[in-house]
Amino acid sequence: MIRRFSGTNIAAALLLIAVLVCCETSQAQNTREFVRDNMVPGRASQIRLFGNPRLAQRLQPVRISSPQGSELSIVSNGSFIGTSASDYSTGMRVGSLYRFRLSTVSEQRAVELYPSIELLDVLHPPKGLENQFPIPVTISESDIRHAVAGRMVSKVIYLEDPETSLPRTTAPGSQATIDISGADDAVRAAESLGRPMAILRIGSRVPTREELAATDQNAFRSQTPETVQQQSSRPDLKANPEYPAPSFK
Amino acid sequence: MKPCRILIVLVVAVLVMADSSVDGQVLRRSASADSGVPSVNLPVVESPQGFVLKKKAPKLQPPKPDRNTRAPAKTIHRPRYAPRHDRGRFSPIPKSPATEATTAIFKATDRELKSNKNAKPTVFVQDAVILGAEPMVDHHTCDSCLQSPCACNAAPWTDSVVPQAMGVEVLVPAGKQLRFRDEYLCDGGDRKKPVTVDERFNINGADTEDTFGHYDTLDGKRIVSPSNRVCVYAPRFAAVRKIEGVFNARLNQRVTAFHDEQVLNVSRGKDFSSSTKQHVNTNQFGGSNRASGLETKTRGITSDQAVTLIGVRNSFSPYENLDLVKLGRHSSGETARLQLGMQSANVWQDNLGLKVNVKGAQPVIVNDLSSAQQLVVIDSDFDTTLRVTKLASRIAAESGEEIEFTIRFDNLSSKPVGNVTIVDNLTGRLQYVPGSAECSLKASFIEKPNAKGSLVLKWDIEAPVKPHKGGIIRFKCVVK
Repeated sequence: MIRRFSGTNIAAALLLIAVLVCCETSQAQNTREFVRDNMVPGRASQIRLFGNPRLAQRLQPVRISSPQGSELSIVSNGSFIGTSASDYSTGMRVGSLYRFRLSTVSEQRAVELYPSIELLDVLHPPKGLENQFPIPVTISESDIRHAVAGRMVSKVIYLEDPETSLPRTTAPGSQATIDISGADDAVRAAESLGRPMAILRIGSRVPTREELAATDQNAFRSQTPETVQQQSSRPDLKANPEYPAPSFK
Repeated sequence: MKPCRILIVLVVAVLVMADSSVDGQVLRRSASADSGVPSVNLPVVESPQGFVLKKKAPKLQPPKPDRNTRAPAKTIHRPRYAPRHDRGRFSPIPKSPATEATTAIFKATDRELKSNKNAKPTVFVQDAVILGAEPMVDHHTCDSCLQSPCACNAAPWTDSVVPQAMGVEVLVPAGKQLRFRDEYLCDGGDRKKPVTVDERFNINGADTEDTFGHYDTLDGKRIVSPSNRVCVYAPRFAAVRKIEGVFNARLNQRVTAFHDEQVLNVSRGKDFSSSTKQHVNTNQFGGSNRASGLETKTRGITSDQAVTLIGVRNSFSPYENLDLVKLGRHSSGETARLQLGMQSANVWQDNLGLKVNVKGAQPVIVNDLSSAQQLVVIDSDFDTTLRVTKLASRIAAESGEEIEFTIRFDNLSSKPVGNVTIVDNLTGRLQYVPGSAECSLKASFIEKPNAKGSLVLKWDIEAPVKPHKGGIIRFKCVVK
């Protein structure tokens, strides 16, 4: 019996185990390929954080833009607080799902939508310019119209690859958008064009009072940490220490 | 050997090979570095043709066709693996060649000074180094890198050999890669396919973003000299939208073709038809390709309408008010400001880093911020060298903002060079502002659309550039 476990066999077995561990580790590092747009909101961001835990230390400025006349409300102290603005900059982290409220008028009807944002990556601007280059998340009137009509709008905001980007000019406040089929994966499509940075989801379901008031986990506020308002006078954004630590269910 | 052992060994070997193939890029890079041949496996980009100039080269002999190519690439350093604790998981980090380059400069300078007491050192290392640090890269700056082998944790190198240009021997922080390349808008240098100019002044291999000058020497050589690379932080975003709902069950497919069915008209009369009509249906749609987006914006100035520039404005902008730009001479006191203008975003990509001209009259300095204190030597085999330096007025820009570029070119040799041409092939995200080009020397200016929907800017300097003289070119671009 002992002869069967000679030195050569043991060395080969150890080498085999080492190779398998290395393969497994390399796969875990590249988590981007596991991300899909039809995952449970927040899961894609958590997978990205799992692949690169250092992303949790970075507070990424995000600028949310909605049509003029609408109002964005962010979560603060467990409730939505209006900002009286249609253009709002916040600090977000990879690994969390951020829910906010959008109050607007669509087709002569006052509506409230509850979009969500999750970050997939962060930017690396030169020092001191962090707040000058936030990730722009633009909600167009078309998005609102589709959501109010009962559809689910998923937008993957990506950083264009300068090697393949088109020489186009974009009007200020607008964002170039490519529509894909419902059968396609938006994250995969964005990855082929650049680096996916964030996922925006807009649906039309209005949360019930119980869901809004509930303190336990629910679909609307469960993993929603408080957004950190970005202030230009303060270059280094600070996260709320009460952020819930992202965790897998 | 027992069969079970053989089987285990085979399984292990297959797994090891599979793992190696996953990290094949690293293996290829190492192989190319060892052999000294650049691993050029890049798509061939159509190079702009048609720059056929009928220039007169006063006092210069016509170039010989067989000597118009650049000097063969030489491998200066073989990559050496860093200590194990500094290695990444899979990719070895070769030691930067800059340290050895620095040592070589010191030795050369010392040797020259020892052999000839009256000789002056041709390289001033304190002037030749621009210090800086890429802010977002996790490495430490190290001030002692010039005097001793740098032990600081520099950014990881890749060991691809730089394509040699302008016939000089280049030591660079080999193939240094920008980590977040997609966030920057870069222009300048000679990337991908090396630029060559044939005897008829046709330019080959000019990729977008390339900026270079070419010139003729008195002994008939035609040499290409790329500029440094300027990067501006200008990320641009877009979105992919997917709308799901009930209507999604409907599958919309475009009609791509009709069946080719030819139907005869019904014959009239019982006997035979006197005539027939043959309705030929459309058998196919024309190509319904979407617009590629390569928008051609011709400014109305073609190559036939060359505009002669006769002057440049007298004042200097703050970012270019440097001795290097004004006088072609670098002073160490301007290092920080030069650093800001040259990199404009603290990064270099691929093949261009810090350069020091050893045999020229002055050290050639370019910025290299992602690898602080790295020194690169250009040891020219030629007697003539044209230095092309490019600066940008901003380090970051958003879409719609304007950037002013300044190109300073200098003849660093003791002999005049003729047929000097400066070419800037703009990237697709830079839109040239019409009428903004200036040149301090008398030159003809030509602009021509390129493959990326932007322009190729070209300045043909009419008179030969005298020794230790140079000129300034300015132009403006809008970031798309």
